[in-house]
Amino acid sequence: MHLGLLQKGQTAVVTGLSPACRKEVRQRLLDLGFVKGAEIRVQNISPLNDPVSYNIYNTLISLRRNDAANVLIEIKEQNV
Amino acid sequence: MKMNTMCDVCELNASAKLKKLGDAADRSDYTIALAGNPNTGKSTVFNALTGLKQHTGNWPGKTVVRAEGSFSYDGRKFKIVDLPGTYSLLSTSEDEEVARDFVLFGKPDVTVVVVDASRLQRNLSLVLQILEITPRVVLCLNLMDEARRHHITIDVRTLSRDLGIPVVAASARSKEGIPELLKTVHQMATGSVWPSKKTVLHTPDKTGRAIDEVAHALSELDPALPNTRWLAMRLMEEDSSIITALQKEELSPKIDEEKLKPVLELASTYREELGDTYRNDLVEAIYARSAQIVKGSVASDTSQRSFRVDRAIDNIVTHKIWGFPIMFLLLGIVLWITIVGANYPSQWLSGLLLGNIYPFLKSGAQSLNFPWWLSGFLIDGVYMSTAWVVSVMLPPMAIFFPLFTLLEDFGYLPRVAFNLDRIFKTAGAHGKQALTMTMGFGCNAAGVVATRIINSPREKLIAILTNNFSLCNGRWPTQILLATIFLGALASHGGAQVIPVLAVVCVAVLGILFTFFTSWLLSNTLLKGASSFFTLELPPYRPPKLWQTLYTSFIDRTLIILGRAVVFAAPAGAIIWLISNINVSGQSVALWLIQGLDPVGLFIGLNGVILLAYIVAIPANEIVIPTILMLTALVVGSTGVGNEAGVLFEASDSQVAVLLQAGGWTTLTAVNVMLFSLLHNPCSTTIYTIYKETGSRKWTTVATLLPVLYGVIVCFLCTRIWNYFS
Repeated sequence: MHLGLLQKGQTAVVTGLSPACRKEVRQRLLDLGFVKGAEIRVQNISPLNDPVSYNIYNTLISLRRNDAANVLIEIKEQNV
Repeated sequence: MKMNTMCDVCELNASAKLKKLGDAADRSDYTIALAGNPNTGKSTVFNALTGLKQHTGNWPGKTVVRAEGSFSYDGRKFKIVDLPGTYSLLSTSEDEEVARDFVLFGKPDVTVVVVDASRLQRNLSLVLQILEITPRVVLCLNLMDEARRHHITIDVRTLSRDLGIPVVAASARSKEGIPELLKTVHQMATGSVWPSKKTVLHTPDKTGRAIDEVAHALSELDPALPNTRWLAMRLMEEDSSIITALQKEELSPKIDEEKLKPVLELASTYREELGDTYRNDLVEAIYARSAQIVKGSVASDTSQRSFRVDRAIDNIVTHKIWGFPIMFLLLGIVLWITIVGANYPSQWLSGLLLGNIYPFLKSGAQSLNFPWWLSGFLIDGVYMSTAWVVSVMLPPMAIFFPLFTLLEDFGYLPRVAFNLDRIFKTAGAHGKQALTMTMGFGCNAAGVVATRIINSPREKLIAILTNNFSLCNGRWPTQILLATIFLGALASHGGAQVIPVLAVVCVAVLGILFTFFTSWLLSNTLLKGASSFFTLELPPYRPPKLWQTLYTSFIDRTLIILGRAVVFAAPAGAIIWLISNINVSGQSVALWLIQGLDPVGLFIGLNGVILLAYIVAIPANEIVIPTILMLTALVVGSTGVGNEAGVLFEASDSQVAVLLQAGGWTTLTAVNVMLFSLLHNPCSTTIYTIYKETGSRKWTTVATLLPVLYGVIVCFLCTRIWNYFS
C-alpha cells in the first residue's frame, strides 16, 4: 500500500519509503517528515485531482500523486 | 493565558537596552545566527530584533538569500544573520548548504532557532540537528499566540531541561517575549549562561556504529576537534564543502588531505554498505527523539477542534467546483480595486506634476534665460517623462502590491499554486510558478526575482522566461485607456463600462494561456525535461497585519520598483525629445524613423509610430501611450493638443480618440496595440533583472525576443482574420 492510494477520511501510518525512490526525492521526503511511524491523513485534493495535500505532524504538505507513490503506508483506521 | 500589557510591548522595558541599528553597523562584538523551519515567523523575529522591515511572506522559502542586520544591547553590538528557512540540514539544496555552512564555518556566538510552538515535534528535528553542530543554541518558541488558540500548552522549563538549552516563549508579531529573547541571547553570548549538556541521538546499531567510528577516526587525528560526530555524519553524506574544508586544514591544523584519506575511505565503505538505510535510520532517530521530548513537555487538545477554521477555508478555496471561480474572482477584485482606485490619485498627481509644477519650471527656466534646447531637453524631455511615470505608475502599484501582500500574508497564494499545479505539471513546469506568475501581474521584475523559490534550475528558468506574459502594472493603463476609448465606443450605453473591463481581463487571461503554452514549448524544445519533484507546504492561515503590510509592501516593493523605473524613464524622455527636435535633411529624426517603420508596422496591423514608441519605451512600459500620442501629434501636425515637438502631454479621453483617429487608428489598431502590449519585450528593468538572475546572455536574449516574435505573429494573424470577416 502506498500513499497515492490513501482515501480522504482514512488515517495511515508511514512504514517507509519505496526502495525505487530517487535519492533527492528520498531526502526531501524525509526532511518533510515522511518518516516511519508518522501518522498521515489526506486533507484536500486539488480541483484538478492532483496534487493532494496531506496532514503530517500538524503541517499540510502537498505532493503530486506520482511522488506520493514513493511513500509506503499502512492504513490505521477508517473514519467515514 | 498571558496578555500583552503595554509595558511588555513598550520599548522602555527590558528592551530599553536594545538599540536597533538596522544594517548600518559594520563592527560587532557578537554574531548571532537565526535559523528555523519555513513558516515559523523567523523573519518577524529578525525584524523585531533589528527594526529592519524585511518583508515576511506567508509562503515557504521566502528568504533565499541570507539577510543581515544588527542591534546593540546593553552596550554590545550584535550582528544577526537571518539564514534561509529549512526543514533540515542534511540535504544538498542550496538553502540548506547556506544555513549549514554558516552555523559551522561562520562560528556564530549564539544560534537562535525559531520554532513554531504549535508544530513543535516537526520543528525539533532541525533543533536537534543544529545541536549536533553547536551547543550554543537558544530556542525561540515562536507563535505562542497561535499555539494557545489551538489549545496547545508547552512546559517551557521541561523542554529547556530536556534539550539542555535556554528556551524563550514568544509571539514576535506582537513583540511578546522579545525582551526575554534579547536577554537570553546576551547572556549566552557573554558567557553568563551556558548550555548544560549535549543531546545525543540514539541511532540504531549499524548506522550508529558507522558514525561513531568515523567520528573516532577524526578525533584520533585531532583530539581537540569539536563536533566530530556532526563532521562524521557529513562525511557519510559526502558533503563536499566539509571535505574540502578538512582537506585545506581549515577546521583543524592537524588534519590535511593526506591524513583525511583513510577517514574518507572508511566513510565511503560504510556508505556503500548501508545505502539508503543510513539516512532512514538517522532521520528516524531524530524524529524518535523529538517525539520523546514532545511527550514530556507538550499537552494538546487531541480533538483539534481549533484547526477547523483552517480546514473549512481550505475546503472552500480548493473546492472541486468553487476553487477556480474563487481564484479568478479574487484576482478580478484585486484588479478592479487597483484600476478604479488608481484613477483618483493618478489624476491628482498628474494635475500636480504636469499641471502645476511643469508650467512653474518652464517659466522659471525662461526667467533664468535658459536656451530653448536646454529647457526643452531637461523639462520637456527628462522631467515630463519622469512625471508621467510617477503619476501613471505609482498609484496602481501602491494599491496592487499591498492588496497582493495581504493575500500573501493571509496564506492564500500557496493554495493558488496547489490549485494550478496540475496545469504546470502538464506543461513540464513547477507548481510554484503559479506564485511568480501572480506576482508578475504587479511587476515582472519582482516576479523574476520571486522565481528564487523554485529549486529546480530548469523549472526556475521556465518561470523566468514566461513571467513577461503576466500583464504588469505598467501595461494596465495602456490596456484600460485603449479598451475604454475604442471598445467602449462600440458597445451600447450599458455596456460601455463592462466591455472594456472584460476586454482587459481577456488580454490578461490570454497572457496566462501564453504562460502555459510557452512553458510547455520550452519543456519540449530548449529546456527538455519532465516536471521535477514538487512539494509545497500549505501554511496555516494567519490574519494579516493590515498597517504593517501596507507600510512594508509600500517601502519594499512599490518605492524600489518605482525608483528603478524613474532611473530608466528619465533618459527615455531625453531621447524622445532629442529625436523629435534634431532635424536631418529637412525633417526630424523621429519622422524619418516613423516613415521607415511604417511599412512593417502596417503589415502587422500596427503603424510606424507604435513601433517607434515601443522601441523608445523599452525602459518603461508606462510611457508607451504618452509617446504614441506625442509622436502621432508630430506626424499629424497641429491638432489643438500638444503643440510642441517632443513634449509629452496630458489629454482627455476624447482628445486622445480624435488624435489617434487622425493618426489613422481603427478599432483593429487598438486591439492590435492591446495584444502587442501583452506580447513584446520586457521593460529594461526586467531584462536587467533576468540577466542578473540567470547570469546568461543567451537566456536573457530568448526572454527578450521570444515575446516580440509572438507579438508580431499574433498581430499579423489578428489583422488577417479581422480583415477576412469585415
